[in-house]
Amino acid sequence: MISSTKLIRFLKHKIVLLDTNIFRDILSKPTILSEFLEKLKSSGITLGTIDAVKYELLKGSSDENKYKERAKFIDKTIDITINLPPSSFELVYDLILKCNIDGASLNITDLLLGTALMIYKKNICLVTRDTNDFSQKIFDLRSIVNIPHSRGILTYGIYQYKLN
Amino acid sequence: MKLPKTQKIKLINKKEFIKLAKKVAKDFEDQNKYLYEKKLKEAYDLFYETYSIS
Repeated sequence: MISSTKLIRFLKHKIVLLDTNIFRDILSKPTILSEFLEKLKSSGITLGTIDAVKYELLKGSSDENKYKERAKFIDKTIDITINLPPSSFELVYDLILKCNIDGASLNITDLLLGTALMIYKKNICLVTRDTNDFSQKIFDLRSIVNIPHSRGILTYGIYQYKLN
Repeated sequence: MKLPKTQKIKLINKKEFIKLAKKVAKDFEDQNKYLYEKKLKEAYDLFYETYSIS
């Protein structure tokens, strides 16, 4: 596992995918997490996500203005949206098969994030708080990030597709 | 497969970002409140249908 001191160097020039829960945490603790994002971005790390994560965040906006505010927030947070090629939907079946029973709790967004890791391999990582969803049989837990706040610690896993 | 070309990294204007995040957070609060109330109403309706004397 990569130590927190070497993590920035490891992530440099890679794309770091943000899971939905990261956006939710930024919203509940913007001061603390904006510092973390700033640190990543200023170190040359590109933050990205996939459309499925955006759908999860955009659904349920109370009106068009609120929808636009949510879209602006996503746009300000990330640098790039990773478009998954049509073949990735076939790969989702492979991922489901590989996960076996561990995949029972995966939702479609998790599956698509996992597929993005499978497609782009060493050039991409995922940061998520759902550390139970990404099986370590398939994904390497490369590092753990702990962010302290006034009432506890936020813990995130940095995952990468297992390279054999 | 090659990753799409990385765009320029957008640095955060912290003050503006936090202000926007707080606005969006309020909308999520409203959404959660709406979902909670909807769930309560459904539970109440089910209870009413089950136990009301016709």
